[in-house]
Amino acid sequence: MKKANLKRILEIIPGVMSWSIILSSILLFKFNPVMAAIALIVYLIYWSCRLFYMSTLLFMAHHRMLSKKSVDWYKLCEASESDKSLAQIVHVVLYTIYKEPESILIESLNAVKTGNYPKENIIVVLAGEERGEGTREKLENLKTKFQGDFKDILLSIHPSGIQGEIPCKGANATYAAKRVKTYLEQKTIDFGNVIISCFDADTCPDRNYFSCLTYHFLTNPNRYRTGYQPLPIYSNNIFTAPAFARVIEMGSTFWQLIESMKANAFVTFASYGMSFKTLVDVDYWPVNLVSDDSLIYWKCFVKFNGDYTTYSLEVPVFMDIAVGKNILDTILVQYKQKRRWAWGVETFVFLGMHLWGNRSIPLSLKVKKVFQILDNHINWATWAILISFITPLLLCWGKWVRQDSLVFLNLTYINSTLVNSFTLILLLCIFIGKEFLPPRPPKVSRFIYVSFILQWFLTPLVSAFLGSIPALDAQTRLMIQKPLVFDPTPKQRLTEGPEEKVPGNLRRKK
Amino acid sequence: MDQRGNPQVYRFDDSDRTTRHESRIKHMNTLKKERYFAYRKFFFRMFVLIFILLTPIVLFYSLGYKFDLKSKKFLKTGAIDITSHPKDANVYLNGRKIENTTPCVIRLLMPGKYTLTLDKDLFYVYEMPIDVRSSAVTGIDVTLVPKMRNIEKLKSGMNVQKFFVIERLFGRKIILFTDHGIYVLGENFGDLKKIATLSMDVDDIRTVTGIREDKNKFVFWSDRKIWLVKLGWNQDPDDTVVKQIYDARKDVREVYFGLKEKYLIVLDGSKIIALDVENPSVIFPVMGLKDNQAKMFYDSGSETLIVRDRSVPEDTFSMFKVNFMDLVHEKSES
Repeated sequence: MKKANLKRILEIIPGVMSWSIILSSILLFKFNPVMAAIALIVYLIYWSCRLFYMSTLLFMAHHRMLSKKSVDWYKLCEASESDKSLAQIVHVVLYTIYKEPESILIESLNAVKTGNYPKENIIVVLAGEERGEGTREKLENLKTKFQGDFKDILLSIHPSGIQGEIPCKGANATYAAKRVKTYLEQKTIDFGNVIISCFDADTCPDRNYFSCLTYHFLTNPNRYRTGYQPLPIYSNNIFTAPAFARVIEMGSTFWQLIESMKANAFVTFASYGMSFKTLVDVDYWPVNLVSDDSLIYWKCFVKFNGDYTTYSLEVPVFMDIAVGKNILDTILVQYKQKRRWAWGVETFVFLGMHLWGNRSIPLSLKVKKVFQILDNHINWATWAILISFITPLLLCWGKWVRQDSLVFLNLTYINSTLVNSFTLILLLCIFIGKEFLPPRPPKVSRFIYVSFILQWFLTPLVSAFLGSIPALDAQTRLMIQKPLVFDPTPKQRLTEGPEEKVPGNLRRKK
Repeated sequence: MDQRGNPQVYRFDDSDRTTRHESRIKHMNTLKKERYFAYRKFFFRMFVLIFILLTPIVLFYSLGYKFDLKSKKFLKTGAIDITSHPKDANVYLNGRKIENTTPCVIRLLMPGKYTLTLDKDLFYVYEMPIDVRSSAVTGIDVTLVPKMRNIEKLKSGMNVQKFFVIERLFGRKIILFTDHGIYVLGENFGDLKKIATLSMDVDDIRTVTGIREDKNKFVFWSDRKIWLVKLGWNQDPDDTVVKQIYDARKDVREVYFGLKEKYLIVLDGSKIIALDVENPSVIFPVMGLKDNQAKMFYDSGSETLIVRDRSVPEDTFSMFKVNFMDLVHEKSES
C-alpha cells in the first residue's frame, strides 16, 4: 500500500469511528429502539465499570504520591550506588517560551532555583521564538536576573520560517536542544550523564523534582529507554481561575494519576524529563507536528522497537490553568487548549505509519499500542456526549414515544441508579482534589473552598463541552485534512500587585 | 523498592553485565515490586469480570426476563407503572400489599389479569382490573375521590333561593340570591359578602334565569323582567338596591352588555333590542328574528352579534353575524 494512502486511511479512522458511535446511537433509536436501548444499557454498564476502575486507580495513585511525600530523594541519590556518580549528572531545564510574560518565567525559574538540588549541576535553557514580541530583551533580562544562580543559562531564539517546520513547541525545543548539544560537546559533557527536562513556560517543579528524577535515573538499569513523567498539577493560579476551568484541569491531573498506574501504557505529557542521549538518538522532537510531548515517547518507542516506557515520578510540577481575559474568553482558551491536546490523535497516524512494515516489533505489541491510542481518543471524543446529552435525550424521547416499553422503563431506572452511584466518584474527586490545593492567599475568602466542592457538579457539562467536543473537533479536522495550527495557550494570572519571589505553587502578596 | 513499596538503596554491579533484554526485565521487576502495579492488574481483572457477569444479568432484567423456579425456565414478565392523585396511596395487587406507595412501578409480573386496588385515608378505595403484557409497561393514572368530610356551613340564617357562577378572567365568583339580599362568594369561596339589598318578591327571585356582570354593575333576568344592580366603591350594601329596568314583551332569553357596555342587547321573543342601561326607557330595535327558537351571542370585545335563526327560503337554521364595531366607532367620532 502506498504511504500516502496509508496515511490518509489512518487520518480518517479515529474521526469515522467517533462519529459512527455518536450517529449510530441516534439512528439506531429511530430504526430499532429496543436494540438501541440494549446497546445503551451495555454502554452504561461498561462505562460504570470503567469509571469505578479508574477511580480505584486514582485512589491508588494518590496514595502512592502521598506515601512518597516525605521521602528525602537527595539523600537517596547520595546513598545509591550506581555506575554513575551524583556529581556527574547534569540537568538541562529547557523552557519553551513564546508570549508568556516575564513574571511567569521569573516564578518558574525561582522554583528551579529553590529546589533542593545543587544548582551548579543545573543548566537552564530559555528557548524563545523570533516571532514573539520582545523575545530577545525578555530572555536577556531573565539571564541577567538569574545569572550565577545556575551552572549556566543558555538563550536560544528560534527563527521563524524554517522549511519543513510548522510553528510549534517541538520545533522551538529541537532548535534549542541542538544548541545545547553543541554546548555540551564544547564542555565535553557526556550526553549519557545529562537529563533534559522539557518544561512549559509556567512549569514550576516541586522542590524534590530534580532529586527524584536523578534518583530514578541513577537506579534505573534501563535509564536510556525510559521517560520520566512528573505529575502535572494545575494550581499556580487556582484561586483566581473560574470553577469550570478548575474542574477540567484537575480532571487532567486525575487522568495523569490514573494513567501513571498503567506502567506499560504511560506516555509523556506536557512537562517531563528524559535522557539527553536518548533525545539525540531519536533526532529530537518532531518539528512538523503539534503534539511534541506524546510524540517524543512514540518516536522513542519506534526507534527502540518497543523498548521504551515512561516512569511516573512521585513528585509533581505545578502549572497554570489556562484562563482568558473574562469568562467567555476563558471558555475559548480552554476549548482551544483541549482541542490541541486532543490533536494528539495524530500520534495514531504517526504510529501507524512507523509500525507498518516494522518487523522488529511483535505484532501483539503493535496491536496493543494502536488499540491503546484509539481507545483513549475515541472514548475521549464520545463518552461525555453520549452520557451527558444523547442518553438523557433518548430517555425523554423513549418516555414520550415508547411509554409502554419495558426496556425503556428499566433503562431510565438503570441510568438513574448509575448516575447516583457516580456521586461516590464525585466525592472521591473532592477528597483527592483538596490534596493538590496550595495554601490559600490571604486576600482570597475562605468561602472559595465551598466552590471547590460544588465545582465538581459541573463535571457532566464540562466533560462534554470542554472534553468530548474539542476532541471530536480535532478528530474531524484530522479526518477532513484541516490541520490544526499550533495555538499557544495564553498564560496570564489575574492577580495584580507586587509578589514575593516564592517557589512553586506558593503565592503570597506583599 | 522494598516489599512495602519504599525506595531502597539500589546496588548496580558493574560486573553483572546483562543483556539489554535481561536488564529490562530486571527494571520491570523493580517496578513490579511496587505493589500498586500488582493491585492494578487485580482490579482490572476484577472489573472485567464484573462487567462480564453484570451485563447479561442487567440485560435480562431490563427485557423483563425472570427465572421461574417452578417451570425452571426464563419467562418474560411485564410491569405496571402506577400514578395516583393524590400520591402516597397504598397499592394492592390481587389483595397482596405492595411495599411502595404511589407513584411506583411494579416489575417482574407474570403476564395475565390482575386486580389493582389503591387505598388512601380519606379517599374511597379504587379498584380496577388490569392486564399485564410481557415486555410491556401498563400505565395507570388514577384520580382518587375524597370521602365527604369537613362540610362547612357558610352562614346560618340564610335562605338561598338561587345562585349563579360568574366566570372572570382571573377566577370566578358565585352570586347568591337570598331572602336577605344579594351576596357574593369570593374567589377562594370563603368570604361571603353582601353586595345589595333585594327588594323583590321571593317568587320573582325564583324565576331568575341568568346573570351578567360588567365592571361595577350586573344585570339579572327572568323570562319576564330584567333587573339592574349598580355597585359603588365603598357603597353600603343596604343602600344598594335592585332596580327593574325592563318588562319583556314576549320572553327574555338572553342578555348581554354591548355597544361599549352602555346598552343591554336583549333577545326578547323574536326580537333583539338594545336597551340603554342608564335610561331604560330608551330602546332600539336591533334585529327581528324569524323563529322563536333563535339564539344569539354578543361579543362585546368586537361588538359583534352572532345569531342562529331560520333562513328563508331554505327553511333551515343558519348563522348570522352583525358587526357593530364600525358603527360604534363612527358614533363615537361623531
